[in-house]
Amino acid sequence: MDIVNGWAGGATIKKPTSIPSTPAKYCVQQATGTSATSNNSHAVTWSGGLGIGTGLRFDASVETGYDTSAQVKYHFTAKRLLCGSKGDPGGTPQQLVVRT
Amino acid sequence: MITKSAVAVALLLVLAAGCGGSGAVTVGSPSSPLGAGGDSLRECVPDPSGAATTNGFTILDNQSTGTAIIEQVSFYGDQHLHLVDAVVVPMQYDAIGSSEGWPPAPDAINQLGVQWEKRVPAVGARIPPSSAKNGSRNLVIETRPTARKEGIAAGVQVLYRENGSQYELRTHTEFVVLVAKSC
Repeated sequence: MDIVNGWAGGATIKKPTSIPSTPAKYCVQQATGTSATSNNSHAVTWSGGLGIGTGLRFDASVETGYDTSAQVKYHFTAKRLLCGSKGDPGGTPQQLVVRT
Repeated sequence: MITKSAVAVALLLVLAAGCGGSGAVTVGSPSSPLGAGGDSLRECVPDPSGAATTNGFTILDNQSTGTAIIEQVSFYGDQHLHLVDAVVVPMQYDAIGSSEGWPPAPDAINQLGVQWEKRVPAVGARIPPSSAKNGSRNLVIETRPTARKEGIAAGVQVLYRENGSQYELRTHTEFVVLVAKSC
């Protein structure tokens, strides 16, 4: 999968077409070398228009949501912020976003 | 011989004591002041020295109108992971997060909105209702693996009291300290 933005998967699956806003209070610092793994089947994360295939250097984007066994693992090769759109990542973030 | 009525009376007394707030603990309810513990997430931090690690992933977001007072902080479901110390840090924006070493890295504690100098011991900390004025509170824990490869905890357990009632918060962020250079 090269591009994750937009629509995919059929008429009943809708993906947001813009990067969700993430209030600063919903962000947690991630140090270099750390990783975060989400088993939440509704986790959605976004890049700044980049797809998975282009690498997840910043504003990374991957998505689960259509398979209950889906798992997303973020490995941070540099200091980044892991944010949620509706809550902090350790709470109920709804959508996860990686930001610089 | 114990009669059925005696058992029923004893049961009622136990229930009454619980309703009185002396023994009942509300566990992980979405309506609890600090919430239900959130979604599941696995956070891994590398610590090649195995000396100390910062777990600053937990944000204490008090959604009630009263002040919550923390009574106990511990890990649950833990193996080979020692909770060394726990502090509560006022914050406005990004949380300190997790990293190798203790205290947290200077760039984490000096970032805008983090008031590291106003940290207090977690036990006894007062968590005011979250607001733009009050901000939130970051629970920051010093940990140390006690095994050579890794230490792990299923989450953080926080016992606290608000308005006379006792609550238990169990976060669902699994925390792994890997004695290695990278996760």
